[in-house]
Amino acid sequence: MSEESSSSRRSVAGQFFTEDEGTESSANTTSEKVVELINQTQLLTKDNQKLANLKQVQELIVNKEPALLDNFLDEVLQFQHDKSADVRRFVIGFMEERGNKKDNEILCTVAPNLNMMLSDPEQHIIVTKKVILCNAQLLKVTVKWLITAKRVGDEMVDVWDIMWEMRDKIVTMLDSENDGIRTHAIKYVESAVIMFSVRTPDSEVPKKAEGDASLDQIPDEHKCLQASKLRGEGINCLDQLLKLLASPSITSVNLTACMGALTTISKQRPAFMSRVITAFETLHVNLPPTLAKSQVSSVRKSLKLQLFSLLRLPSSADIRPNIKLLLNDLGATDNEIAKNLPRVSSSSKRPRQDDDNDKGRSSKKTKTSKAIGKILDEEDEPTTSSRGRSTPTQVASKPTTTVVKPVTKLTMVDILSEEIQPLLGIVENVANLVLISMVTLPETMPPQFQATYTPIAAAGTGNQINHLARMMSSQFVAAGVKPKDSEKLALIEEANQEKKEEPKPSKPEIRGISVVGAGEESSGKKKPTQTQVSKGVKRIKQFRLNEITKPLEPEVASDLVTTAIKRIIEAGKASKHGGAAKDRVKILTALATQFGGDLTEVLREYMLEDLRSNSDIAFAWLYQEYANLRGYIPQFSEEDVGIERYDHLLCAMLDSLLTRSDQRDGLFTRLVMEAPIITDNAIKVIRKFCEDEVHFFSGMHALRELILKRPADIQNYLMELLDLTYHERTEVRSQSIQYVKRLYDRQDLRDTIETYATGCLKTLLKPSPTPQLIERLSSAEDQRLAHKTWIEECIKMCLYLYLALLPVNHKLIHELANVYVDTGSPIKRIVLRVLEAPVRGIGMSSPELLKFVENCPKGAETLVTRMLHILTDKAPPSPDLVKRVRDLYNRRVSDVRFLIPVLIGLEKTEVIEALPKLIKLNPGVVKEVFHRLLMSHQGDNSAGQSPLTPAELLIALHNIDSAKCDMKSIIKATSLCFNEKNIYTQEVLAVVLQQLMEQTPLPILLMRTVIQSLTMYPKLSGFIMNILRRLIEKSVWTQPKVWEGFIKCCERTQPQSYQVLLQLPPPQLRSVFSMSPGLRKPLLEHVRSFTEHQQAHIPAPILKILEAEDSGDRTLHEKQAIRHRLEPVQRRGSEDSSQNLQKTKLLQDKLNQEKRLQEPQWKEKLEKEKRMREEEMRRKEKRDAESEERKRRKESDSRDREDSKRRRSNNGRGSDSPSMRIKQEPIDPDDQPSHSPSVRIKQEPIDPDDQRSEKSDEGRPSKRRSSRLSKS
Amino acid sequence: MPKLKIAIVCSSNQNRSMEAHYLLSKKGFNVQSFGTGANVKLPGSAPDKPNVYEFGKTTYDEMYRELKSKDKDLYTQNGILNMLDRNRRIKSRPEKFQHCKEQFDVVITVEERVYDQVLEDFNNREQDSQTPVHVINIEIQDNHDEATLGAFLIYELCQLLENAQDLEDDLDDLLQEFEPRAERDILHSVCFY
Repeated sequence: MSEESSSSRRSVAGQFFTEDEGTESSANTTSEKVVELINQTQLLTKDNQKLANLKQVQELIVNKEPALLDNFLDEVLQFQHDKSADVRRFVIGFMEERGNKKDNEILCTVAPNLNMMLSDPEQHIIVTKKVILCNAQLLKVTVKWLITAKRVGDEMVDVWDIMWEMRDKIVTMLDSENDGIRTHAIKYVESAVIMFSVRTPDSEVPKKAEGDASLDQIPDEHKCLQASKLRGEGINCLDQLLKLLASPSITSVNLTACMGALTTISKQRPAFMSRVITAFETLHVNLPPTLAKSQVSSVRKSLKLQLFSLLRLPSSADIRPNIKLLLNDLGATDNEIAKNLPRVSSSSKRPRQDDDNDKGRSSKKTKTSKAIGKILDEEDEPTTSSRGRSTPTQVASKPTTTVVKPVTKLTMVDILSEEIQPLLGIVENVANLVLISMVTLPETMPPQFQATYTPIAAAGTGNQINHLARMMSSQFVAAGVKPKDSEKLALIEEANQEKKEEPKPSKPEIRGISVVGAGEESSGKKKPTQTQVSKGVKRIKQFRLNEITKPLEPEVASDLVTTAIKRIIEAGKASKHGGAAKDRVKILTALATQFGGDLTEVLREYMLEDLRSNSDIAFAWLYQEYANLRGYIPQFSEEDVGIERYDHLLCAMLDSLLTRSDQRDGLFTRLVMEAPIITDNAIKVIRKFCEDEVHFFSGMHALRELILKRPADIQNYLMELLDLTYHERTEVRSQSIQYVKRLYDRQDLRDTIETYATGCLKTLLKPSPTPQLIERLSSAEDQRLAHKTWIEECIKMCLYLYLALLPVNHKLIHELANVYVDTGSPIKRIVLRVLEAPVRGIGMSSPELLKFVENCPKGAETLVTRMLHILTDKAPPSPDLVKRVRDLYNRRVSDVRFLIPVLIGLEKTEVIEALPKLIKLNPGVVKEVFHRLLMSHQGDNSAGQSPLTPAELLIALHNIDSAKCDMKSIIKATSLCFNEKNIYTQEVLAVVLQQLMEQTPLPILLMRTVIQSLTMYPKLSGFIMNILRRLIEKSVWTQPKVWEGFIKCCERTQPQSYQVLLQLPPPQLRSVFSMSPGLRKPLLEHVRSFTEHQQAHIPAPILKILEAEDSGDRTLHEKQAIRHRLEPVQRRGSEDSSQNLQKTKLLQDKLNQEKRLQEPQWKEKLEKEKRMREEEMRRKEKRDAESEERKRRKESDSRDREDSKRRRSNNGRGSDSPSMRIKQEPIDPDDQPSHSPSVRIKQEPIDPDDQRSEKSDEGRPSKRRSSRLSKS
Repeated sequence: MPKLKIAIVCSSNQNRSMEAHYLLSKKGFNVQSFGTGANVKLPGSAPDKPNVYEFGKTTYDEMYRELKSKDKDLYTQNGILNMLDRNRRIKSRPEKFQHCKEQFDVVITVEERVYDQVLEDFNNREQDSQTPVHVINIEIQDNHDEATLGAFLIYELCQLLENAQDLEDDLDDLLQEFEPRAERDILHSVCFY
């Protein structure tokens, strides 16, 4: 209402007030006060003040001047729009107050207002509640008013319509979200049910409600109230209440309220009592799971209270046994029950209960049967047991039931429980029930059960059975089971049809958690299909089918099944098109798994035909079998499910993949990886894959994946993989070894692998290969051999894995050595042969290896040596290794061969010390030694730098004490050096010769080397002449061997050597001629070709010796003969010097004889010659100086290069002096004018490596050159 | 929002209910107290000789004086006189719940027997206004110490109730919350006037 209209209303009231003013003072003052109060209230802001004012208004109007109500109603109603909820609530109270009074017309005004307030969704909750309360009252008033009204006006119909509308709204509020509103709605519905039902004589109506309207008071032809519609509404309301009561989420407050409401209804309308009790029974066993423990006890308590109050009613007589049982279950004692019974029936009930209790003490069986008898008697049904036992008490109790029976309406629960009762009498049934219930018991006791459980006081008594039957039947009904007694059912239905509504309230669905009923409920469901107990019930549904069908012949049945399966299989394409492919797979696999037998065969055949395209079936089936194996699916056949079926299936699938030739093994891997279990047989198949030529890779891969991804069985898989590591086939073996090596990094697998590998290795200790090993050999011939002894194949098999692990775990080396020591030589040989790769993998820096070398076990020396060789083959030995080897050599192993691998790591002196021993070894080894020592100087620096330069080596060889080593070995060694032409270039040799020559005494082999150098490098002749001259200075003739060599050298170097010979003192010259007579004539001719002047320089004795031969011409041919004989000897001299020596001695003696004969001529000649030579020397010296100067200038550049090169090749080890000396004392230029320069120029490109190193040194040549220049 | 009307009910309306009545009224609650027993019983000289008074007739003051004259030492020692002295300053005499026609919002009982009697009473009453009333039971033993403790529990509970936005909607949760804190079993039911 708007403000304007309200103000106009007030003015109307004001008018009224002024009109009445004069007539009645009391009224005046009252209304005056009311107006004042209302006006005040309008202006007030505080709620409580408003309320106080309004209360005053109410007081004034109600108590003093009811007549004023009409005037002020609207004004008061204005406040329903007040902001304050409490004010609004008051207004409603005011309306209710007024409505209750006689002037019912006010309803016309009030009802729309109420409806408005009720409809407001924003309405405050307390206002809504108040409206509901108010409605409950006003509904009664309205109905009463409508009934009693003489004439029903339109406005009354309107009011009724509004009331009806509000009723609808309130009933829906049973589902409100607010607990309080629900509670109020429950109360409202309660009164609605009472009002819309017929009051009967046994109704217990409270005195206050005596005058309330009820259905029976409604006249037949009322304008707006139709009895049938209202009755339907009443029953609908009751259903709503019962539905709420059974709702699983109901709160305890609502539950209490609901129970209270239902009890009240039962009291006032006993017709509904049986339904209410049934609902209570269901509630009792199905308390909402949401309730807390204390709430459960609260609810149970109030349920008990309600039941007691019902028990007291006379109208509950026929249903009393049910109530009593329920009370018993709730923990009420018989005493309490007795106390609450109406006095009339107590006398007849008491004795019977006592009777029951007494019987309860006797043996259970008789008790049960008796109880059944009793019940059956009561039900007036034929029975087989104990009819005669009927006792007077039972008979006495009979009348109460039979008399009341016709009055009560039968419910479905009643009929069902009647049917169940006799069945519970059969002990077997009960036992079955209990057993089945045990299976479905929850793991832990639900709290509700714990809270509500009360020991069953009268177990086994008729009452208890009766009650149990009822409880079960209420569950049955809830589950939708119908009684078999169709006659009675029809009766009920008929009765229901009369009422035009359903026979039962729509029962709630079975709840998730039920309390006491958990066992019974589930067993109740199972019974129809499984146990004897429920035959009666089962018959309702399935009886007829069983009656009319006969089992098929087994053959026919299985035939049908098989063909059915086949059809499903054939329907593959169709099902795919139809989108049922998944279902098809499911059906097929489930059938095959559950029934096995032929079905399995059929399906397998189909599946394996093309496993790749049927992989979906394969996997589904595999899982199905697994689930079956694990007992995840219920068993249908009796046979025990073993792993065999699963195993068989998996292997069949894998096998079928193996026989396929194509290489795509994705399915195989998938199958292996996704199979829930890998059985032993499956592993065997996988192994077959590994050994298969085509599939080995995927097999190995699968195996590895298993190891990586299935830790549970890892040991199994690992052993399998390890087993493959000594497979005969190389690719299998290497692949598996590779995998094992990778797995070896994992700590958890390490031990297993190591143990396995060591085990393998240790089989080598056995006298002959193990049978398993032999089996692995493919060729029969090998197998035959292997039976007798270790053959190479077998030995290698045992070693592969171990050696593969060596580079990963160096520690293994010790065990290998242990085994090595203990095995026979064939095995040792193989071990040494296969060692290379693993040892390289270890590397020489490994501490374990060093340790091993250090503590080399006895007998493993060869192993160590081999390892050292392998290690130092490509790289220089590390200082650590050298140290260990040296120690070992010094301490234990005196075999010099031990040193060879580390030779270049040793000190110079050590090498020199070891040389005599080394060169005594067999030629191959010596070659190796020299290779090692010289290699580094060949430009191949990778193996390290030898401690000895080539020159030093050669010098060292010359200096070997002949006591330590025979000359032959030394000669061989030196010739090895000479073979290395690349290393022993003429420069190197020059250095060597220079150094050797400096020594005193001269090395025995000096001249041999000189000659050899000359043979190799004829261009060295100039240099050698120098050497020879120096040798003369050193009185070379004092050392016979060297002297002999000297002479030979002179022979070879004719004519250059003439000059040298001429410098010999005469006796030696003579000795020369005596040893080599062929020299004399050329020399003499040479001297004669001199100029006079020159000849004058030659001392006379020399000339004399020279010419001595001329006088003795007659002996010439004799001498020649001697020389001829000598020459071959000389040629062989290098090979057999001792022999040579003897021969020359003989010759010398002969010559000496001749000499003595021709003494005078000899002396003359010699002197002349000497004179000539002296003169020539003088001239030559002069010339020399000139040409030397010229040459130096010309060649300084090339010489510099040469120099620096030589220096580098010596690597600064020796001093530079030898080479420098060569240049400072140049070979006589006159004798070989063209030689020296050409040699030098040509030498440059000789050694490409030198050139290279030259280039690499280009960074600093200028410096070196300048230093060189300054020196020159 | 007007204050909740609270009734505290024990058996004799002497110890437990009065203790809570005292505390709550001191804290400003709208509270009354009642007994549900057939008579008002106070311990006497021996267990089988209690002092029995009729509800609604004898005032606390009369009882006080009577007992004081009977055996002042005994009744001082067992705290009865002290208790009666407190009671007579709160209200004149014990009241029986069943006789009370007033309507409450909340009825708090202190033991299960009393709770049962209250429910029974509500059940037997003729419902008229259909106004809901919540009956809550908190177990409190009948001695002075427990009564004091219990009074505080009741006080705590009443605070919760009083502060609730929508009592009826919140009550369930509220009690569930309160129960473990109080460490006592709580019974709760809704009845109607």
